Amino acid sequence: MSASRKPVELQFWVMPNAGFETRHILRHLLDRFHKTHPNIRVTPEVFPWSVAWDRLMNVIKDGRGPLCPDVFQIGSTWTCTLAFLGALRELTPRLGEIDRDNFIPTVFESCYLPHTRKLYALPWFIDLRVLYYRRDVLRAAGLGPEALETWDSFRRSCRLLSKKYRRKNLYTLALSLQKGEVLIHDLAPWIWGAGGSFLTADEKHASFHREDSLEGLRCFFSLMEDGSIPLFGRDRFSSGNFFSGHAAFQFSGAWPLNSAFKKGHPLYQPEVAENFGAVPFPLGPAGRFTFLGGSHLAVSAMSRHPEESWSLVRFLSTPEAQLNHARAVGTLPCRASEIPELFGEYPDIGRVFLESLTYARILPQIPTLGTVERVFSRCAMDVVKMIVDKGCTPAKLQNRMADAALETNYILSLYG
Amino acid sequence: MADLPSKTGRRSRAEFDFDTSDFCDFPVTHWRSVLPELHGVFERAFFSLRRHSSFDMGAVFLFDPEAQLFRTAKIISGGEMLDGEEEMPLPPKSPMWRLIRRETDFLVLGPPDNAAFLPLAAFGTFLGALRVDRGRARKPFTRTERDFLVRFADALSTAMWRVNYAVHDRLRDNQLRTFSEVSVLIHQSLRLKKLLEDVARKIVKNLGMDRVKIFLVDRKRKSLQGELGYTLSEGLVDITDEKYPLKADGNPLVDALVGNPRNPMLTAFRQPVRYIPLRARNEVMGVFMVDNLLSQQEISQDELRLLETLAGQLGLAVKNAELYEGVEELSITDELTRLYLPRYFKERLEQECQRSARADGSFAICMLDVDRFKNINDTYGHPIGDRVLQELAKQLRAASRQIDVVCRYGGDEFIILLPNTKAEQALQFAQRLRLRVRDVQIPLPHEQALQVGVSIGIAVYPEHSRQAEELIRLADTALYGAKSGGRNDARLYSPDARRQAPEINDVQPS
Repeated sequence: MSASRKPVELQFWVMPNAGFETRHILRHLLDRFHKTHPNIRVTPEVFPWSVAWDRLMNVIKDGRGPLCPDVFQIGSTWTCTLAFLGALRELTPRLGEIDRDNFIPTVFESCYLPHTRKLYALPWFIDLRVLYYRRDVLRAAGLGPEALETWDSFRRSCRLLSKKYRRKNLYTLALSLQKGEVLIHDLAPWIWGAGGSFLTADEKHASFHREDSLEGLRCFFSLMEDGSIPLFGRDRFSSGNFFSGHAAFQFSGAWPLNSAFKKGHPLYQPEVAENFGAVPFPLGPAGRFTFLGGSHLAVSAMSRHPEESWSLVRFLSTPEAQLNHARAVGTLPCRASEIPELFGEYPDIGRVFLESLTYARILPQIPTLGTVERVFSRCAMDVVKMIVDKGCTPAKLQNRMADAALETNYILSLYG
Repeated sequence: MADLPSKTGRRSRAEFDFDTSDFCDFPVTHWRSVLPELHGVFERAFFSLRRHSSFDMGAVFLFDPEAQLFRTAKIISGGEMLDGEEEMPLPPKSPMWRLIRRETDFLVLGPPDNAAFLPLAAFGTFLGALRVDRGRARKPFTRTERDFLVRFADALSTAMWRVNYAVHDRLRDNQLRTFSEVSVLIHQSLRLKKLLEDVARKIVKNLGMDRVKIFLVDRKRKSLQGELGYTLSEGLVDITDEKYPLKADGNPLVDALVGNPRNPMLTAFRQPVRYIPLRARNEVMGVFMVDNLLSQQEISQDELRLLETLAGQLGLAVKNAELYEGVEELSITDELTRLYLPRYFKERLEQECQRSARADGSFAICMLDVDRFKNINDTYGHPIGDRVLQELAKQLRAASRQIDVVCRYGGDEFIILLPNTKAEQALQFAQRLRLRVRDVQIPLPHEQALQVGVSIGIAVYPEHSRQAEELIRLADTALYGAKSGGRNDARLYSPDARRQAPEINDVQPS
């Protein structure tokens, strides 16, 4: 279907995927789109993750307005709920216009409304967690990458480094912290690795408060309790991370090729660029798992320019645009075939990401996933506060998780 | 990810000129909450700040006057925008306390004086504070930088005030509009179902709730009956299959009505879910559940107050509707038997003829009377005759379906409309009814009991006629045939049904 030739302005809402550079990068990427679609002008608006959900909800509830977004970036875990709420335009009729088979299948699966074959988004970039580490720091502690193989050896290594570098301005483990808080993304591999799950098999009840899941959660939070993940204040983490040279390890899906690993860039840290390595997520008692999420692009159900909006989404989802965007922003594209090209000079790191794809899982695809994720993250941040206040006992952790499970069950009972 | 530029060297005053329109003219597009809109302002403001200065970290803190603390709303560091919601208490006499009290408009902390705090205030209201750091340069702020930051903080304060004002103005306007529209609906609507639909729609559309469900008390069944729901995604939804016994048993809807405060659901999820009873004076008429569970948005105190007011109005409307329906019921039912009157029956019969014609369907009518009813009256007196009619009405109601229309046609004659019924089914129904009545023992004085028989005539649409009046006449003919054949019988109409009824007195005390 061809878009009309009338001048059209599209509002494009994105998260600060590259901080202040986000607008600049997008403007550059959209140059080609503007050339091939001279009647369309795209205006990017950048909103942080913390308010993006509320803003989208406000759009859904407020209906059409002059500045409603036409296209927006959404977390992959939000797709189900936003589609369920009627905020997204169905894209199933457009399936023939894209090369769906080349997308990573599980990622593409998260673009559908559960229990239907209705498509509501296209993947933009993925968040696939691996463990970055500093070779020089490990070596100085008498350790090698094999020390990161299992949960036990990883935790022992963390404790050793925390002790060794306590006063040397080097944290042991940095969180990804795109959204400034502990997320379901951070905790999921620990729950799965301990043999736990988020929901029961029939997806009608929460199961993240059960013993096997709790074991994984205890393991994660013990990294905060022993100081491996530094905490500043009741709900604040270090803004320094692995790539800025502030941490020895980081679970991350970032690949900041054009910033942290590029000589001359303000974020370039030679000791990081010359000594970094990556391994898959450590092996848990029930197996090796990692989280696979990311961001999708969707057309707003309220958009007055659905044809033009789809043109933009399709353009940004092409292999070339995704690769360019991934390079500029420091993320991974959604087609496994592009990963070797992205990692050109670093084939070993590329292989770790490709291997991690085989361990990767997405969260259960239920209509209320976006809501349940928020409940879970709120609960996780309460646990962080308890740790800061030195009041996090196993019983309190269990109780807080049981409360979150009760709330989740309530949501599931009302909405499924 | 890029860093903030590290500009060094002497800088001219002109470099510190900035265009505030970038963030001061930020378009407020949505009205439900202030913070998401403010973030649009912050993002643009920091973008502007970054273009004009050498500061490499910044943060905005919002002041919470009730809790007397700052909440971090936005941090930039190393070129990244970080989200954060740290709470920062304000001990009296602390430097930040002085800032709130406007004892200074530029506070410098941290050796070597490279972190500046500026108040964010507009029109006499303290809104928060701006923090600007120059971590890398590690040198004091110059006079020019200081002037620039003060002007910048002033512009940011004005922009924040504007957003606050615009959002609250829209919110208030919306609430007033909802209140006024619902009031009009309540005063204009006579049909309760339609009123409930309209109010539910207004609550979701105007107040921006995810969902509303309305339940009414069913006093006969002592239960809470789902009436309707309205959701953001589906619009109007049928919840009539939701019924809950009216006893405190853990169901939050019922517990909200009977006042069981121990139900954890009533307290655990108060932010996004509210159960609001519908009351008319001291009588509980129902409850409505309003939720923002999916969107996880808080239902504010203002919204809650409005919902409670609407619930009060709706409770009265439900009561009025009940009274109206009661009066209406009285006007179409017979005083003795509580069955419908012939006028109502004929209306329904006409409608059924039209409906069946459209749907190419069929229906039946059964006309019946009590065998030897005159003898009962003569033998036992009119009070016993009335008892017989009341008992018969009870049996007719019990044997009929919800969709059937049972009517006292006059004296001891009754007529029943059976929608979606063919001839064979009607005959089976009539036979069952006849046997049911025959088995009933109507008590008489002195421990005696009376058994009665009924005769039934049946006419079927469209087999026998397509005309309402004609169908009644043909059912009457069939009834006459049943009586002629010996009474206590049920017959379908046939053209040769009309025969002389034999005179047999079969009313006997048992």
